[in-house]
Amino acid sequence: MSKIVTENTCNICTPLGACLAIKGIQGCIPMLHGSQGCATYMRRFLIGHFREPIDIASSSFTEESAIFGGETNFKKGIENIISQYNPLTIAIVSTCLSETIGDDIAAHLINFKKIHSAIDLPDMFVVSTPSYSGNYTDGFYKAVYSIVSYFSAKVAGQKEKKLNLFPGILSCEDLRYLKETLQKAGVAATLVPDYSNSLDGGAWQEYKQIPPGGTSINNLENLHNNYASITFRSISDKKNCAGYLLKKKFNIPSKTINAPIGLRNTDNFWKLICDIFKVSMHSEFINERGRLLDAMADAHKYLAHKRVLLYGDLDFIIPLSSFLSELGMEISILATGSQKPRIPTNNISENSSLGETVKSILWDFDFVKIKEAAEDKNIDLIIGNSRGYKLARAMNLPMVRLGMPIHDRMGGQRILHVGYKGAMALLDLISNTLIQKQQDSCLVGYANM
Amino acid sequence: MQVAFVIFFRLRGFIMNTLNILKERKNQVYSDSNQEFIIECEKASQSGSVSQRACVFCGSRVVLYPVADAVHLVHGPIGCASYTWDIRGSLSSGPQLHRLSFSTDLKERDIIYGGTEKLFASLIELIDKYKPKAAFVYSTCIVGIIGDDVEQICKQVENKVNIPVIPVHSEGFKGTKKDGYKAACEALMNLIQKGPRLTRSLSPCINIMGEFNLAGEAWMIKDYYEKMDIEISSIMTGDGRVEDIQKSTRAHLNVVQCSGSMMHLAKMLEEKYGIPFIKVSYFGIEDTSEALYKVARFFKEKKYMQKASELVASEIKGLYPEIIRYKEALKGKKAAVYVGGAFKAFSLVAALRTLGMEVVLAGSQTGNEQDYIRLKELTGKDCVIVDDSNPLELSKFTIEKKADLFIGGVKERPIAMKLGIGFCDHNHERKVALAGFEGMKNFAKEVYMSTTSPVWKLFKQRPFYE
Repeated sequence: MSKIVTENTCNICTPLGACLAIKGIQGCIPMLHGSQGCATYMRRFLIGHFREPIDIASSSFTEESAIFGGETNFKKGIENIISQYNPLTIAIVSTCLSETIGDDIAAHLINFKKIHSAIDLPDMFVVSTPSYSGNYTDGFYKAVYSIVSYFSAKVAGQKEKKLNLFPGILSCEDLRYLKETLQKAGVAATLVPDYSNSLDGGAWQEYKQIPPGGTSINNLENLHNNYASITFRSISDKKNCAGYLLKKKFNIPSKTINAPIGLRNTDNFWKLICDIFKVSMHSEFINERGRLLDAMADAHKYLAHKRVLLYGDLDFIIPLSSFLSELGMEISILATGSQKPRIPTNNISENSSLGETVKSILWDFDFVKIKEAAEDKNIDLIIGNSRGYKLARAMNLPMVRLGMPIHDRMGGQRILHVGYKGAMALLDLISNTLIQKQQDSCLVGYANM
Repeated sequence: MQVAFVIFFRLRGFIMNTLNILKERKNQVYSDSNQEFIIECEKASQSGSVSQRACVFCGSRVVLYPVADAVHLVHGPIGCASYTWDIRGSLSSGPQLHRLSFSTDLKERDIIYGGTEKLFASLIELIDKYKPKAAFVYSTCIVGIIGDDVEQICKQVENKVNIPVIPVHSEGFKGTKKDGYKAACEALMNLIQKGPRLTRSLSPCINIMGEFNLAGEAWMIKDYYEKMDIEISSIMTGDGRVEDIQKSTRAHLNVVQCSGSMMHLAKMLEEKYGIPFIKVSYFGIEDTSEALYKVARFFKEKKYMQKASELVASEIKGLYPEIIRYKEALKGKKAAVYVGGAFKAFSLVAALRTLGMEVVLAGSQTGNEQDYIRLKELTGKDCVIVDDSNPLELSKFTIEKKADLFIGGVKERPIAMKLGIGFCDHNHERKVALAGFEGMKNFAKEVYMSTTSPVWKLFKQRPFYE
């Protein structure tokens, strides 16, 4: 299947991930350095998923900028953002345009600060995300790395027995749940980023230039004083790992594990927390775990050996596939639009010893290739973002929408995936989708399944 | 350099946000009715202003993508194709190639060594697989920088596969959305010129331009004209077919909606083929009727006007009882309108008046001077007029003017819903027809349902704990 053209891509470009991460930092607004279209399309994409106003600025390159460099537009853009948004921080994100012309954004920033040295400027830093390398999750982690790199140790602060948690791209509900449960467990934590409020806020009486919420600057400046770092990631990527940076610079122990989706991954997470912070498992979670096991038993027959086609971002679908395997489901296809990394992916091979049914990862796949791969696999269920709906419809298969973007259902930003509670929610969703298919296809029309 | 200065006042629960309009944008916002009406427009967006406009590529694909039996290949990194995959409600009665997303997906290696080989191979692959009647190749920002000779590759492929392979000069930074429209019009002209030379049709025949068949609106409009015994040679580009577009020179008249996007092509067709054009809109009762009458008048014979009048009368008869019903509930309520092209704003002002609503804020992404003068004439003295606006300005005036409804697109929707007012999705993604007479009914219903939702009352109520 050596196809050249990409048809119906699975990918979303890197700068979008960076903008998403930046939206999870208090008082921070991103400026895309490049063509205006990028900002507008990314806003549209994120607005469709989160159903929130999402302002991303652009330096609005012109033909002149492309030829002579983007400094003029850069300066104007920053000035206008400060004037209208009064942000605490501005993160400048590169695009394929500014990267390709080799625009020295760091130099523009230095010049800007020199010119305006008398004024109290917001914090500003640059994230390099050319859209032709990687997927939006790479852009996300890169931004997190840049954020941590910029803010950590800006103040001396005091050592605290706190956790640095880098949760990756989870839902707003996931982030809220992680904060709640860590608090219950008696563990203080800083989540970087935290868009649980800024991208899932309440009703407004006035338009808020920058939605409230996000990791506080104070917490960012004290990351180096904390006790340990945990990153949720399934792909090894030390170069862009904020946790690893804190380990190298400040000797803070860093662990990278799968996102706590499913029983084993959640167990791993809590075991790590209990070990590091010397706390014991809270009775509420023990009960939750018990209920999850019970629910898994109740549902096992609906799910046993059902063949799943799973696609999306690996840092999400790998832990998810682990959960599906726990339920006795078969992962017939696990596909991603990402390109295979040159470094072997350690976390994946670790999991394969736990009875995974994932035979292989289909890298650099688009939806046309996925469909071809699925033809003879007798798939029972499709799990992935809204973009797979056409595939599900063409193959007449039931579908569970998970991941990003969810553009054809309500509540994509509120789905709980993590923890024992999240696993139960997913279990219900997946089981009921299959039960509905069975019920609808059944001629008899039973109300008792 | 300006320093931000934002003050919040709480006046009996009503909050006014005094936003500093950017200095460079002061003349693009008309909000003081005591001042003479001047508005600046047709400018590039201000850096950092968070304009709602996209780029040149956006303008091109708006015009060209609905051609359903052509392959649309985006030459560049994945983003442009990824964000625009099937985001439009443009329907086709046959082939669905426009709903697929094709990209050369340039990676780092291609940026360094050039993407022409990949482009050539991609085109051959797609044309071989889908057997389209033509192919359009959209250049993105990167292509403009790395200097891929897209025209050359298109020629090479065309010689090999014998279908029109047309480059679209849509590099994102080469201007604004309007330049994208122009690039698309040039591509269409290119396509038409590659087609057969035809004589004028013997019976009345028109092209409908600037109509993209969102939610089947083009079919509705086609039906109206056919009932008047007027043939539609082609629709550009709703439910578009390469062959029809190439035969568009048969027509006697080009009926142009959405004056911004296809005017350039209409002018070229007039210049080169002597086909005159008229400007119309199909939103609202008045404008839809006038669109039919204008064509009837052009063909002079009394029977066309008679048929048009009969059609309009019968449609309106069916429509009015419902409109009256909605008007009862909507009378006196206020609306804010922010759309892409100004022509739509005109029609909406009229349509809203039919529902008894007053427009307190009106603007567009791409209007020109004449458009805004007309818009000011159509709206009240105190109506705020904005050009190429942004979320901060739009929300400021929506709140100040106490709008009950906002009409706009996907990026305006969250503003309205965050502030607790009704919203009408009048954009290219809509799945409900809002054009023509049937569309007026749908429009009125949508406005009514959203504006009168009980949710807004709960928004405004003080919660028990405050």
